[in-house]
Amino acid sequence: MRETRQFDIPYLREKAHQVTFKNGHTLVFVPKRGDVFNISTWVKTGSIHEDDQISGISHFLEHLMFKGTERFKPGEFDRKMESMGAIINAATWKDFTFYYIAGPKGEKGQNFDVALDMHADMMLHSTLPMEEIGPAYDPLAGDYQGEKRERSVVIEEIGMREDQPWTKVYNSVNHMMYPDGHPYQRDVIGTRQIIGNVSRDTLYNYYRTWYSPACMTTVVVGDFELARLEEQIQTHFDFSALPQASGVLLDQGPAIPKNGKRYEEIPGDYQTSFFITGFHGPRPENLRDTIGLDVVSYILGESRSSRFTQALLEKPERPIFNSISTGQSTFKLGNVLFVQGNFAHPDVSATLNQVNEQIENLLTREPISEAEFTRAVKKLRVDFAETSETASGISETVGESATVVGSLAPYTEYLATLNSLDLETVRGVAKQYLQLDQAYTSVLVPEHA
Amino acid sequence: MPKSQTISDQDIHKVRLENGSTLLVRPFEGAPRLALSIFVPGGNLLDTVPGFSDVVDRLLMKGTHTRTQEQISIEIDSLTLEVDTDTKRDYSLIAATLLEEDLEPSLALISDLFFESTLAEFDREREKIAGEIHMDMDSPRSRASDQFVRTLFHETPYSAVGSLILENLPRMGTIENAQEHYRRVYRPDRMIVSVVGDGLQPDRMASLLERYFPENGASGAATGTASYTLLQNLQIESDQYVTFARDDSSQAHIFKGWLTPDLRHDDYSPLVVLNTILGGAGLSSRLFLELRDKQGLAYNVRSSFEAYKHRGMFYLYIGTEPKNKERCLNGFIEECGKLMDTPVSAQELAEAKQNILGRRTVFLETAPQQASYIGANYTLGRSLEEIAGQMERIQAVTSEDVQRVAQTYFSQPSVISVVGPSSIL
Repeated sequence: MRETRQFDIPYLREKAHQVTFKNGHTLVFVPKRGDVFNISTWVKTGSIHEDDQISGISHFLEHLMFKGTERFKPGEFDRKMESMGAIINAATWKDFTFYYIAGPKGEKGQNFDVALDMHADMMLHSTLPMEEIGPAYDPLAGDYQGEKRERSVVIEEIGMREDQPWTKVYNSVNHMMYPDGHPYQRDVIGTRQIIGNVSRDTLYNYYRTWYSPACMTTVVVGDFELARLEEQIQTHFDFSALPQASGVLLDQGPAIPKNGKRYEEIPGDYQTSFFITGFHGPRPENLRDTIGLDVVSYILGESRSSRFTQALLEKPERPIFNSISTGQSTFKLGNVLFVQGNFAHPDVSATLNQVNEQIENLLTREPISEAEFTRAVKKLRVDFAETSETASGISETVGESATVVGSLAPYTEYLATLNSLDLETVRGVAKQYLQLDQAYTSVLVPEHA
Repeated sequence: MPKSQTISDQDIHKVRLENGSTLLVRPFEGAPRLALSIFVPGGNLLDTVPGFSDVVDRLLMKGTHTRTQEQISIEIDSLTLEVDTDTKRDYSLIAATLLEEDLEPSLALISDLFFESTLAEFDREREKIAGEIHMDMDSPRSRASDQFVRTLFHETPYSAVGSLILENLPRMGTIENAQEHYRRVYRPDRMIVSVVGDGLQPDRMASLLERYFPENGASGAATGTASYTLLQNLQIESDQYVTFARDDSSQAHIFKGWLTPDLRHDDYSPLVVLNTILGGAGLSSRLFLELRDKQGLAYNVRSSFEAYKHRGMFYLYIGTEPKNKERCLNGFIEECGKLMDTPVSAQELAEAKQNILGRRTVFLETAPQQASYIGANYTLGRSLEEIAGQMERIQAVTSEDVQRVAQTYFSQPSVISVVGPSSIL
């Protein structure tokens, strides 16, 4: 039978429900008053289950999921949803792929009923038609005159990302942070060669391997009845006629290269330098360290009064940095704390040393103060509550927890864990994860400098 | 029943305060945070040197007679308050969100920023802005957008984009000029305050605002009449083609667009519908279906329509492999041409309207979104009745209207901006 549990959502009056059905499919329902609903389904795959031959297919598949089912022609879903004023999209990252619909629920919720039906149909019964994928071609072999379909769209997306300086420097530092062949090392979007050539069979097999009930969490936020919703989900997410999926979730533990490269400079046609420094962090199920590192990040570079903002942006007589901030990214095999910044100064290493000096200060000469700690905890509490303001905020936080960590604890235990932290713990977390000799840094630099 | 997100003039309370300002209050049950936005009309319209407001507005966060920049930052971070300033084409803005428990200390702080900023960091802030603009211009897409807007609104205050601000920074005079501008613009009688939150009582909000924003006897003109005339008379005489070479760029970033009228013009609603049909509606718009789905020319292709107090702009964007540039520009001509030549079907029209209505519900989900929407529209000259009636005006648009505005604006001279490898420019 199904398993049900309840939990609280900040600011919302009614309890949320997590229901796991017999087949392993999980439903999270968050009752929220108002005219808006949000439906999303999170699949436990992304580049984590790819290798060098199929790099990028999780994301390519995500595009193709919008290309029709047996019941609905390509484009019909988009049109039907958008003509009711819904916003639809999807995203693929290292550990997850998710699909969402955010819209007005309509009188008596009739928009929602249609949306849930079509969303489930797309998740379970996409046909990935060959004419939508487009014929295979070599994107590097000059001027391709053939029919351009979704392959070309994704290849254009690769080009778009190459023109984004932050994406470019991120990919560089990300590549250094994992050993060769590690699934996190590759860019989620893949390469032009693979996208130009991957076969429909490969895509379809991947779809059937990973889009299984046990790999899916559906999050519904809105003004609905639980009992009716459970029935709707069981009717629409009926996996019984589908082939048994065979994907085994990868969990190879944290992977940190031993003696790899730690610094890279990439020259380009820039006026300014873009850098990202990454530190391997805790596993996301380690809530104490993860949330402790959130506190550290807030104090170091996520607020107006943070060390970086004050020392590097606001106080210098001659400002060198144009931006600098920090943030923790959650990954199943280990979080990463990023520092990212931009500056205009020819001496790259002296400038980066100013960043390191601030980190060094925080660890030694000028440890986190009681006042900094208190401010950070209060602000993180408000930030967390803010995610309750929108149906999409709730669904993304809950969906990511369920998918990346495999439990809702990062959400349901967040406030209790945050409140249980003390200054010493947070100082210890900073010392443990912000070791400068364990950092990786990439910089895009002006080539004519 | 909780109040719906659909905004009607009935649930916005308008209060004229003793200091001469206007307060708009919308109680919104269940909203976790309270949103409070202070609009002061003007923005770039008041700039004698385009971009001057952008500099002055930022300085509000950088120190007052009794608080240093660092003290302001620490105070904000000690409260549940988020607050920042922003400069728009027609107004400047202080936008805050907070929990009710911090309302009074937040108002005390914001009042200090409003009345007592020293602007002492005028020189250093200009250096910082220059750095940020250089950073932004390193993105080919930002560069393409910048030169598009600058060319379209040439020599009017609406052209205050990054590259122009950068050129103007050395011409902005002294701190005295900045202080004079600040006193002229940030006057309590010029404020429009928009507040949305749970359980708000208009009377209490009014007396709090009167207490923290007392009439200070300041006066003087801050009208922007010259800007109004410039913008009203602005014409693109002939097609303009502007380029910037980035040989390391993977894509050509192409903007094409036209001048349109202000947001209270009769063509506003038909243009909103036209935009939705052509390229504003996400995955099902015509540009998306034709240039992305069918021809595979781009990942990102869309149209946008933005209207301001005195003029507006309608534009298309595509990021494409450089060698496809001509094909994309022809695709733009073809898709715009279809809308000029053939009326849209009743079904496409109805779906577009439904899309606009529905998206609006989603975009007005939170208190900050509502406070911003109500305050901005009122500041731009719309009455509460006009704000509430916007959806009715959308419903009244016919397919003839859509065709007529397509013919009117797409047949005018356009501005095309391209950034990409020099070989294709």
